[in-house]
Amino acid sequence: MIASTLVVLYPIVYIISSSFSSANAIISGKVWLFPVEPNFNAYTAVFKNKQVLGGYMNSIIYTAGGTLISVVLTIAAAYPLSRKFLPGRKFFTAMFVFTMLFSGGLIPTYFVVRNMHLIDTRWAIVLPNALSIWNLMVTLTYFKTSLSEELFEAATLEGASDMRILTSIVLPLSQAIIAVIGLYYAIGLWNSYFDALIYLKSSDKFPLQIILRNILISNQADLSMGADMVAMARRQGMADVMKFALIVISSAPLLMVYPFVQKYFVKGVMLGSIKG
Amino acid sequence: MNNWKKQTFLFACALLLVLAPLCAQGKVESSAKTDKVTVTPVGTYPVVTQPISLTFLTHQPVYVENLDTNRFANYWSEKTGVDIVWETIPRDAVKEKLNIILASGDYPDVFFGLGTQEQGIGASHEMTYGVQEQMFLPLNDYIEQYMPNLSKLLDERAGSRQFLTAPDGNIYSLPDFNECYHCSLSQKMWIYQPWLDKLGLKMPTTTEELYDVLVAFRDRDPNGNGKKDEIPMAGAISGWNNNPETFLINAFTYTNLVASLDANVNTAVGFYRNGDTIKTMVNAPEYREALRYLSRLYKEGLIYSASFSQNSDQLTQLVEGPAEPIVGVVAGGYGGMFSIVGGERYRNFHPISPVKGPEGAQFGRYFLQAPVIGNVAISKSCKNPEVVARMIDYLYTDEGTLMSNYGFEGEGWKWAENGDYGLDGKKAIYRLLKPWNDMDPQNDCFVMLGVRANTSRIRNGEAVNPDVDLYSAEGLEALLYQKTEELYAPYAHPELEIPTLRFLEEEEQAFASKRLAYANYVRQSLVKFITGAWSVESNWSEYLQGLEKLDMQGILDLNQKAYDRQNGKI
Repeated sequence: MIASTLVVLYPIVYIISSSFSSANAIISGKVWLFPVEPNFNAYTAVFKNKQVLGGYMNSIIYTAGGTLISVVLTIAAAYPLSRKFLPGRKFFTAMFVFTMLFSGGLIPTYFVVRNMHLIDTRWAIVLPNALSIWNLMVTLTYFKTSLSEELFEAATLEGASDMRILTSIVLPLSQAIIAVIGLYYAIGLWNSYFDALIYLKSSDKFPLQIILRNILISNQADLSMGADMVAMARRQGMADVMKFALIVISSAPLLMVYPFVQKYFVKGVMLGSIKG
Repeated sequence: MNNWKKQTFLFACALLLVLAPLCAQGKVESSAKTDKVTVTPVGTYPVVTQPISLTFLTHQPVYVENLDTNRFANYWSEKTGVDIVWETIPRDAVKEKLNIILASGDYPDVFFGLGTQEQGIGASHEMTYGVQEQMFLPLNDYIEQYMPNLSKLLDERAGSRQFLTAPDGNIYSLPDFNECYHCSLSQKMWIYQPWLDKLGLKMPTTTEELYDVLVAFRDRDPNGNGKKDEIPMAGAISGWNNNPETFLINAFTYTNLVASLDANVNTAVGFYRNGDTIKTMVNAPEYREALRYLSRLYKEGLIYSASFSQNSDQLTQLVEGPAEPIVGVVAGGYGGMFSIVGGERYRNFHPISPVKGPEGAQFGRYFLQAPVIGNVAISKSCKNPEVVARMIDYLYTDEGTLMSNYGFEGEGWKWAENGDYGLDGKKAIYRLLKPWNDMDPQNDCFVMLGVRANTSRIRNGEAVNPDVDLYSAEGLEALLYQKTEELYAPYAHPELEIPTLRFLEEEEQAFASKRLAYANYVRQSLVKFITGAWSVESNWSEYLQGLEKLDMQGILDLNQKAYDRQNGKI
């Protein structure tokens, strides 16, 4: 147990230590557990870039807003599909599943987004992929298996509307699954950059991941271009340290949130795996 | 049944209703555009009689904070009278985004600074979107008519027009000039000078002297720790010219062959030019001789065995890691590829001139400093291409280039004074006031975005401090210039290198996989011969048969055809 913990922990410690070490120590391979010649140069270099803070804000907006939209949509789709009296239930489910297997492809999707006038708006990040079918299926299965039909019957007899059933009965009973899909969506949105690459044009809307990638790539010496060698030499070392600082910066928020959601996590994913 | 049909029909109607407006909207967008504006005579600013606005699509560099407020962008815009609307792409999305934009029809007026990036606008884009689909405008007439500065640069460089021209005879993008003198001879080898001094050895000048030095490094304990831990020669498979084999083979026959499988499949596979004939050295007896030499070094433990598998980071750790120096000779484009620039080990590695082989061959691998294509292309939807030509031409002036690189005069740079000398020892053109920096964000200039005339005249015209310590970090550029001129330039044979060739679409298709198979085979064979997996004596004829099987002649012929086409011989 201890051994396996160490195996998992070591890379994290190594990355954090490296991000605080000097460039020269990393280049010559002297860092292995604790920071060597500790300093904050990498972090100063990253945060000196004004785009980074803007990117952080954008990422938080996309993650928070996007998760909210996605969770609402997922529940709004999953709940009706879980009720047996909905006509055409199979047909709609099949429609959803169909999109799991076949998609329009990149360029047609781009056309749709463009014709909706979403290009270069923040909506382009949160709307096109708002509903993940996989999460929908997980939620659907959860609703079907863990909420019994008797419960709904009882509620209907008491005169509750569908909306009332959803808000007063289904949602309170489904906190675990909501937390789980919420986390799935949040991780996806926090890490996503492809949509931003494709749909955004103005740099003040770019999420953090794109800006970090930009920094990293431009620090990888493009030597064949024959740029100034002095700057190149300085950059080369910096790139190695910044790489580690960037990993820490970009994963910190999720690492901090994870422990609070984690307790629902195992519970939520396993639920519905065995039919009761 | 009837009910089902009705439902399907209703559904189809609903679908149509939803989709119809979407389809219609696409057509409305690209209508209103500015009227034809007139340009002012060439050489005067602003370039237009009435202000206009143009859309520039570019990538977002890290080192520029915001192009909308960039001071040079605004200066350029005011000077030329053109309002620039910037659209940006993240740097590593250039390929995807470009394809989407080109496919979707949302063209900007100008594609700016998208050529330098990997997968950016290159010869194949020019082929597809220029030659075939005519989405890029042919620029030949605009260059002659509106771009005197660029025309002059092209006139001064023989063959540069051919280089820019696509196979249909048109030029579809404007070049970025970046002529780096020491890069043209960057296949360098470095030796740990203190060891030579300690053992009382001379700098090696021939292959046999080099062999003797390596043996002495191996056997005579130059680092004096009593252990036989010295590595006479090391290199790496990746990194900027960290490969030792190319330097060594050039003592037998001129070659650009490298062992790395990731290297360019057109320019690093052992082809060279003899007059106007494309030839190869990979089947020549001289190459066999070189392989004998290399395998001897390897067998006797003189070349570090991981040199053909490790990357340049590992090489740096090998050189810098141990408490005592253990590496004697190492390959690299500059010291920073294997050591910490300005550090103690870096200072002690001195460059070796190309060594002379037993038959007298002595070559420096030459890298042609061709301009970069694709950094400015004008889309066919642009209403004022002549305005674009006029405004871009400003970037090819000395002032435009210096401002785009370094910012405003008096802030980032100033014109040189009497008594300032450049890297090449001639009268300097300008002096930098701030250390060159393309990492920290700034908003004064473009640094490296777009096109510039960074010609060798400009690059070598940077005033340098005459008594700078060559082996310090500040002296790096001067060190590389001086050592390249002194040690490598005498053995430079640019006439042996083949200029970048452009292939037709059908040629590309025909030999893309063939070319790769050939390159991999030659490179793998090279390593097999060196490491002794194949014997140079007994496996040679088998190797030659392999070359034939992979249709090397066919590949050479295609190269020849492309070369002839480019040079007007067909």
